[in-house]
Amino acid sequence: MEPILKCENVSKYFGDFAAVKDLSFQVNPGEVFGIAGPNGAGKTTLFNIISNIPFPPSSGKIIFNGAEIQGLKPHKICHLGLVRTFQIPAIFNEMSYLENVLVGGIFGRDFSFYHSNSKLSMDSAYEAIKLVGLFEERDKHPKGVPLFDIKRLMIASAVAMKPKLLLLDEPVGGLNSSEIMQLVELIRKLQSKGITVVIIEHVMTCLMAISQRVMILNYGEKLAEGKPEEVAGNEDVIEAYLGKEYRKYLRTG
Amino acid sequence: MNIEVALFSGLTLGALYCLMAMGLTLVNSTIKFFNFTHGAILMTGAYFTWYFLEEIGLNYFASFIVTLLMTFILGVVVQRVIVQPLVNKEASGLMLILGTFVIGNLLENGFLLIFGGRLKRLPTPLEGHFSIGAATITYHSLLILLTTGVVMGGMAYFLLRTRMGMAMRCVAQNEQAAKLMGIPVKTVYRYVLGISSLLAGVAGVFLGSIYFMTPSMGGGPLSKAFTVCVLGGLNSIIGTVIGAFLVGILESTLILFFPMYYVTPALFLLMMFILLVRPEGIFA
Amino acid sequence: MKKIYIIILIPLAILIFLPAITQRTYILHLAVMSFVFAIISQNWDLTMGYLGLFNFGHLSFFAIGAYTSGILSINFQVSPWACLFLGGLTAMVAGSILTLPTIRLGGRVFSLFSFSFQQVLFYLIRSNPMGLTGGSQGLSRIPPLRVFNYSLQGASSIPAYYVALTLFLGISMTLYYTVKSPIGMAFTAIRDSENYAISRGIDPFKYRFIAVVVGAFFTGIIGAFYAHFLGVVGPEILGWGNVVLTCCMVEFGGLGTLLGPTAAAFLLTTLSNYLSGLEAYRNIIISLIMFFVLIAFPSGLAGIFAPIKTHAPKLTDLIKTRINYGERGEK
Repeated sequence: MEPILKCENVSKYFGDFAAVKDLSFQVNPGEVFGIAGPNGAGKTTLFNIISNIPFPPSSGKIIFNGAEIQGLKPHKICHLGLVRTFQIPAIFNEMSYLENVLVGGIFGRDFSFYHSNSKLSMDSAYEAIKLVGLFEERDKHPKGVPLFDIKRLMIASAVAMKPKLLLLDEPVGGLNSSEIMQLVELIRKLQSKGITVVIIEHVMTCLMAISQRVMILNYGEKLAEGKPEEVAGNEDVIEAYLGKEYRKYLRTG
Repeated sequence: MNIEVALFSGLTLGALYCLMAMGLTLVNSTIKFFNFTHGAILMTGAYFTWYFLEEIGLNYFASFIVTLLMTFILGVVVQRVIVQPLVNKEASGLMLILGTFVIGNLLENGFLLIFGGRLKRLPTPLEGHFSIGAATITYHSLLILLTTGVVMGGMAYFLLRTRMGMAMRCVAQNEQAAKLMGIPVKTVYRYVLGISSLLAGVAGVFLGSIYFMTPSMGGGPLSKAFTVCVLGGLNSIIGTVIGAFLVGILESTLILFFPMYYVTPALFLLMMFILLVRPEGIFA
Repeated sequence: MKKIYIIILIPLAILIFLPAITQRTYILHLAVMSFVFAIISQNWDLTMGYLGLFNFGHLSFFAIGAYTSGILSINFQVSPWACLFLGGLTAMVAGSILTLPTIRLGGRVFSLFSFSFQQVLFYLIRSNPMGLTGGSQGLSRIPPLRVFNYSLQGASSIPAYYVALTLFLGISMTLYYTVKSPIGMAFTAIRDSENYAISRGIDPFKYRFIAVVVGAFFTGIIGAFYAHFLGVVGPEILGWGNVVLTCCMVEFGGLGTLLGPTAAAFLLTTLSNYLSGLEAYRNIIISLIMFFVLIAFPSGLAGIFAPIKTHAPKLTDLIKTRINYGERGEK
């Protein structure tokens, strides 16, 4: 089975500092692939360089569905089917919920002036906003609304683009446990629709519960990769998260 | 006219541009906008000196000192009246530009009403000249160079050695962090505008003594100062100094070959070129 | 009836029947000038308000339209009607020259570049290259628009008024529908959150280019009309006074609402003309008023007339009427 996303030796340097260093991994179609690691490990930078928002990798290859995409214009990458969300929730303040989602529906599928195809766009927007459960509030304005709504809107506008691969950057940060459960459900629904999901998360329970495979980053390099249970017991991983002292507890315990 | 004369007048011109542009750079790097009152304040500097010299009868030096004071105060007033209310609003960039332009306009027209539109000229404090080689150098130009040097030196000392100077540099680098450290940003803004206006005033006095004074004399120098800022890097003080002298020398050399009228647009074309090729400025 | 229709329809009716209501050419002249400046402001609002792009060279398009039209009709005997279009076209080309190299370099660079462009243009016009622009005196005896054998020049010509009104309504409506279309949606998205817009498939450079070029086209056309209407045009249209006045119209009307700048254009044009005899006092009064409005109403007139805001594109309304989605989202 050809991987849907393959990163070969990607690096991102800021001056001398390597945020991502010589990273290689691949994501299989239809799976949920989790990425975790201590703060500053380079996870969001990885998403940034894959989607080229706001910068491309310094070196290395990124192959999406068999085609090299590193350095391609970011909006073109979206049109190919690789869509991301942001860690700090992003929203269009001057538009209603539905219009926010509609932006994805219109522009995310290679909008061109001559076939604005409003019917298809509306259809995908409606489907997306129903999927995240915000259909009732579709005419609300997003000023001062709960974080959960904004996060769901961000995902909905991504889904309206009919993506093949979705990069979710810390989707449950700041949510309470019931909201986290709803979001996990949502991600499962996305997976059942055939969307491959790559998710960065700090909340380990959430990450381990939904991912088929997990990768741990530390200082921009891959520390471990594999099934969640394997990675959780990995000594290097525990040392990275909790410090050297805990390593000895694992061996004796 | 030969190359030595051109070089020396270029230096004098550069000194003037340095004074004019430095104020813009200061404001731009700390408060982050283009101060369109700058030209008008330059004009007020010339007129203040003229007023105290001719109408009140103070001697040159005293008039100069009073002008320094008045322009500084004027700068602080501008800050309170237009900058402070607008600086945190949405679209503040545009509003500040419009606001400062309007204030500048008010100053111009106000001074027009008070002093009339007739051309005036500031007398020079030092008459006479001497020669080096084929060049004739007036004592007045030397005075300008010297004063500029002293003023620049004073400013450098202020920025590097005093607390307020350090506060200004902090605000320029990271305003949020400066606020968190307890730096009174509003006061810093006042000092920035005061000093920038003071520099403009000095430039105005010199300009008024070399060329003619009219209430609208600030417009041309403002445009030139812009070009210098862009060339030298909008946030770099050293870049502005170098840029100023470069432009001064460039302009006085160009005047040897081309009519004066084309020099200003040529400078603008240069600015456009620099923007395309090296937007951060030559010396950022 | 919705409030918005009343607020627009009454002044509209007055404008349509204005030549019947009053015989005074002064008022008709004022109306035409207001139309011209309303178009300039609206098009400037397209880039400044909707896209957040500070284009300080906007009046260059007006001047290019006016001078191109004047030069072509005087020296090359091109029909004034054709010149209207050619003026717009030339301005559009200028807009492309202005944006293509700089748009990728950022908003700051674009502002400075467009500013310098306008300064260079000003000097260029004043220097009277090849005797074409008439230098500081400007162009005079520009042939008027003609319908059959009737010449449409000056405010005493009623047909000229209606041509101006038609241009005004036509261009305003075009801009309105552009802003309500997906293009307008892209504009708003880019202004609200550029990286988020990019991540949803919008190319900000493409839309910035469109905004500038479309704005340039219409501004050029109205510039050409201005030249033929007055019969004279001079470099003062690029002067500081005009630039600041027009900029204030956009700012005071309210950035990002087409109606606001239009209303402000009418107000400021009338005010400026009314005070034109007082010279220095006039400038002071206008400056004081501008200062007051800046401080007191930072979001402009449109902030007061909130229900009229054409701010957020109601695309969903336009499409909903064609596809009926039921209560639960089924068709």
